[in-house]
Amino acid sequence: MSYLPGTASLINEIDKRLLIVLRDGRTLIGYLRTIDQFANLVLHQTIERIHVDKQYGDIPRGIFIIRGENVILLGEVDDEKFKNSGLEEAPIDEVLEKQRSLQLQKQKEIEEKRKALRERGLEPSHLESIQEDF
Amino acid sequence: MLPLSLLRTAVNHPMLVELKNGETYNGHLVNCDNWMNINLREVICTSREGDKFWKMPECYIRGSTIKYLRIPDEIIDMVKEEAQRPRGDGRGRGRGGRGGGRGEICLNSSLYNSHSE
Amino acid sequence: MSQPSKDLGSGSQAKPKKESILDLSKYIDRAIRVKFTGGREVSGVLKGFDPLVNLVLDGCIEYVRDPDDNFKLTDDERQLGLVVCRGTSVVLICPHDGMESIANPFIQSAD
Repeated sequence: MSYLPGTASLINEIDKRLLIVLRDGRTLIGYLRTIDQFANLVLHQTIERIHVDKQYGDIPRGIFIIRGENVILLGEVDDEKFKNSGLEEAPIDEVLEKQRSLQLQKQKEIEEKRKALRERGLEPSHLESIQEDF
Repeated sequence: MLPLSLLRTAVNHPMLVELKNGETYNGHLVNCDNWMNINLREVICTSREGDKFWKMPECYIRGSTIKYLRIPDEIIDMVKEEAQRPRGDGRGRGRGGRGGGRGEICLNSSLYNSHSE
Repeated sequence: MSQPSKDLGSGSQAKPKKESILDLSKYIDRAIRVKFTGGREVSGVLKGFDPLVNLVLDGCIEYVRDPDDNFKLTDDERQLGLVVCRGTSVVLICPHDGMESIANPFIQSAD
């Protein structure tokens, strides 16, 4: 299969159900309906998929207009590989609860590191994994 | 049909805008331009952590700071109708039945979910 | 003031003279709230602006942020006085009057 150059290659993906990963780490799955020269995307019948360890849960989200610059990657999910991935669906409330406690724990670790650095006379920075300067 | 055409079709409808900084804005789209700059009215702003809320009568948001916009489901059907319509006087037809209310509830309830992460 | 360039070709597709969707003149001598990239937030009385959204704010107040989190506001404020704001870094503009902190308005829909 040959690809069109640059953003135009996305034309081949239109009306496919794609998985999109955003720069903030979120995963969306939806039908790609339209694109433009900036790789802005319109997703239809979108779900947000929350992953925690090997479990995942979905939240219906409807239509998205995504600014292209926020997209890390997109592509079709291979059903076969997905089945063999070891991921299993779980009730979304459960997944969200796990995610929340994980985040709290991470936040606590960051605070502790920060405190430790301060006590040693250092200025903490970049403790969040990717804190972009928006 | 381009993403920005869809956005233009969504004028006067409720929507949720998330900025790159994580703040979200719920409001009705007043207008937008080719840079995706937007004006919203009757806005509720939610902080990045989802723990603080502000209301504002209106606001202007610079397009380049937007992460994504979520619009009600019915907009995509409206834009299809518009595309099929023979080119003529174009916009400004007062189509009856806005039906924004349902979309608003839908967006709001899922907004809440998005912050319980 | 510079004007948008005239449609050069004699083609029928008349360039729609794009007027900015942001009418800042309605905010002149009124207090506005401005948010910037990087997380700063200020409010002040709008005294002037240009098409690039550079702003002149009088009696400007900056809302001081958490030293550990550039996006978290504290209750502290600091006076900046008369300020020029660079348009390229403006994220959001809204009228200061009518902006208020509220309780979670979405809670009732989370059943």
